[in-house]
Amino acid sequence: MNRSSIVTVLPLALAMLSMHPGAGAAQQPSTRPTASRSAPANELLWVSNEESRDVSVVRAADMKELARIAVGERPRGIRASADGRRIFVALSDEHPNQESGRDAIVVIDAASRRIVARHKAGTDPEQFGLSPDGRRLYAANEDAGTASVTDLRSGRVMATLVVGIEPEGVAVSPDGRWVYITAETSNSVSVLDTKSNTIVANMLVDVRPRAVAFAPDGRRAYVTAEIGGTVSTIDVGGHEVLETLDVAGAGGKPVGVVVSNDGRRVYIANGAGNEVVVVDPASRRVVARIPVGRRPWGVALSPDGRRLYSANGLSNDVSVIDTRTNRVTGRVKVGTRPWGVAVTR
Amino acid sequence: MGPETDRRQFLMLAAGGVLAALRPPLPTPARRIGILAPPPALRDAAIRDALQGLQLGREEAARTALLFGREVAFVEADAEPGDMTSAANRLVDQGADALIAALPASASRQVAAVAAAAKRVCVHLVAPAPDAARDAHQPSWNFYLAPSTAARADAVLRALHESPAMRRLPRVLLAAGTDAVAAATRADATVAAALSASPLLTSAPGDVESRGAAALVVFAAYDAADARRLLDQAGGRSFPGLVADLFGSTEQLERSVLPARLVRADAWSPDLVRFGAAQLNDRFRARFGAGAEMRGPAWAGWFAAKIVVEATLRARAQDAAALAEVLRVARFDGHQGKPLAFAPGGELLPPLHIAGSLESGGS
Repeated sequence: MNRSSIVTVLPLALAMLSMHPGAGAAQQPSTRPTASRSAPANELLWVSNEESRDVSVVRAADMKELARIAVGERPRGIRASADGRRIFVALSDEHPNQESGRDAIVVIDAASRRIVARHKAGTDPEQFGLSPDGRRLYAANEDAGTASVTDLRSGRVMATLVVGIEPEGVAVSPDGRWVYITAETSNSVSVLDTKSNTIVANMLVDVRPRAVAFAPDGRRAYVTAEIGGTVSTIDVGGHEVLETLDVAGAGGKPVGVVVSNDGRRVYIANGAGNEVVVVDPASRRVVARIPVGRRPWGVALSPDGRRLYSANGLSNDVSVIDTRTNRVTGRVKVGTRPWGVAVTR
Repeated sequence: MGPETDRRQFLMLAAGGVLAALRPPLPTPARRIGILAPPPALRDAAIRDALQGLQLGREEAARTALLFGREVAFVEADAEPGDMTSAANRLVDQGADALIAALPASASRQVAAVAAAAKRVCVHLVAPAPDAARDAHQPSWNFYLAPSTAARADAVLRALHESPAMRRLPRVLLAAGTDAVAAATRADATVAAALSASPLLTSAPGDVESRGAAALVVFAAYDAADARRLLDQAGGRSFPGLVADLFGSTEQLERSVLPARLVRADAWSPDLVRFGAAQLNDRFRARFGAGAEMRGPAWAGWFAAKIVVEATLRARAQDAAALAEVLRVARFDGHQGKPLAFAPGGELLPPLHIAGSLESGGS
C-alpha cells in the first residue's frame, strides 16, 4: 500500500470504527472457509440460495460446504423441524401472480438430502412457520395477501386467511398458540389464533415490516421494519406494540431477526448496512454492530445459542459470529444470493 | 381450483369466504376522502393513469383499514374544469377530511386554495408543487406527489452531464412545444449552465428533423400532445438524435413512438424491480390487465390512497388537523427503497429514475 492510499484509508477506517460500537470486536471476514471451533461435528447449516436455486449444506465445525441440493425453483424461507430431521424450504416460480405446482414448500430429508414431500402453500410463498409439534405449517402468500394453514400429515390446506397487503414474515410463538404475520405494504402484523385458525388482531408497525421473531418465553416478539429502520417490541399478551427502536444506522435496512435463548439479546440482519445489529431489549440499546458479508438477510442461532449465522445475499457467503464475543469467527462461500439459513444437529 | 389459478380468482375466493367473518365491529365513523377529477371526456393520459393507480390504492387501502376495524369512504366528484372550487367546497361540506386531486395545474391551484381555507388535507397527483410551495417553510395543507419540473430537469441534466454519449453530440437543439415558451426559456438557461452549451430554441419540427442526426435535442415540450407532434414529425422511433426530455412530456406516450435514444426522469417505472417494485407492478398488471403499465401518475394515485389511509390509522385524533400532522412528519414506504417524506411546502421528494438510454435501445 503506498502512502497516498494509507492517508486516504486510515481516517475512513477510524471513522467507521467510531461509528460502530461493536466493530472494534469484529474480525475482518476471511475469503477462505474458516473453522467455527466450538461447533459440534454434527451441527449443519442449511442455506437457501435464491438465484442458484439450491440449498447449501454446510458443516459448522469447519465451515465446509458439503453439498448443494437443487430445488428447481427460487428458494427463500427455510426452517428445520424441531428434531432436525426435516428441512422445509419455500419455493416460488417466475409468476408471482399465479399459483402453480411449482409454488410450494418442499421438505428435504436431512439424512438423505433428498426432497421427500411437497406442500401446496398458495401463491408465491416466501416465509413460513412450523408449529412446535410439527403438525402445522403457516405460510405467507405474498401476492395473494393471505396466510395459509397446512396440515402436514394430510398435506391439506386447512384455512386461507386474509391478512395485510404483501405478507412476508411469519413466526409461531413458542407455545404454538399464536402466529404473527407481517405485511410489507399495509405495515401491519396480523395475529393468527391457532386454536380457531382465525385472525384475532392486527397491529400497525413501522414501515415495511419484514420479519418477526418471538422471545423464547413467548412474552415478547420483535418486528423489523426495513424502510422504517427500526425494530418494534410487541407485548404478546396484549398483542400491542410497546416501543420502537431505531437500529438501522447509516444506510442500514433491518430484515432478518432472531432472539437469543435467554431472551437477553435480539440479533438483526441490517441488510444494506452489511452488519448484524445486537440489541439489548432490557436497556433498549444497540450494544454492538458486527460487520459481516454484503447484505445479510436471514439469521439463525445454533441450538446452544453460541453461534449466530447470517446469510449474506450479495457476497454469496455465510458468516458465523461468536455470540459471547460478538466477533466474526468464520465465513464460507455458498450458492448465489443466499437468503436464509437454518441450523440442525 | 386448477393448477394455474388466476390471482384475482384466488383473492376473491379467499377474501369472499373469510373477510366477512373477520370483519371486526366498526365503532369509528368512516373517514371520508373526496376525489376530484375532470369529467371522463376531459381526462388526459396522465389523469387517466393517476385514477387507475388510485383505484388500486383505494382497494388496498380500504382492505388495510378494515384490518383495524376502520372504514374509509372515497367520494368522487366530477367537475367542470372551470369550477373546481365549487366541487371541492361541496366535498368539504359533505364531510371530507381529505381530498385527492387528479387535476391539471390550473384546476389544482383552485382546489389547493379551498383546502388551505377549509383546513383540509389535499393530495395532488398530477400537478407538481408550484414554485411558491417549493420555497415555503410553513406547514401546508397541500401535498404534491408529482416530481417538479425542476427536479426532473436536474436529474436529466445530471445524467447527460455524466454521459460520454452527450459529449459526442455537441450541438444542442432545444425543442419546445407551442405552450412551452416560458418553460423553454427557463430550460435554455438550465441547459446552458449544466452542459456548457448554448442551445438553439425551436418549436419547428423541421429543425428537429434536420439537425437531429447529430444533435442532442433537449425536449421541453409541455404536454403529451406537443411531444407526440414533434416526435412524429421528426421520425418517431427512427429519429437518430438523442432526445433529453426535461419535463416528462413523453411519459404518457406509448413506447412504440418514442425515439430509440431517450432520457427522462420519472417518479416510477413499470420496469422497476427492486425494493418491492416488482410486486407492485405485478399487482397493477393483475388488476388492470397484462398490458397495463404503472407509470408515474399511476404510482402517485396508488401512493395517495395508501398514505392518506395510513395517516388515518396512525393519527391520534380523527380530525383533518391530526391527519395533516401525520402526513407532514411521517415517513412512508412507496417501494422506492428509501423512506419518503414531504418537504415543508408539501412537495414529496422521491428518488427519480432515469428511464431510457443515452446510448442505444428504447425506454
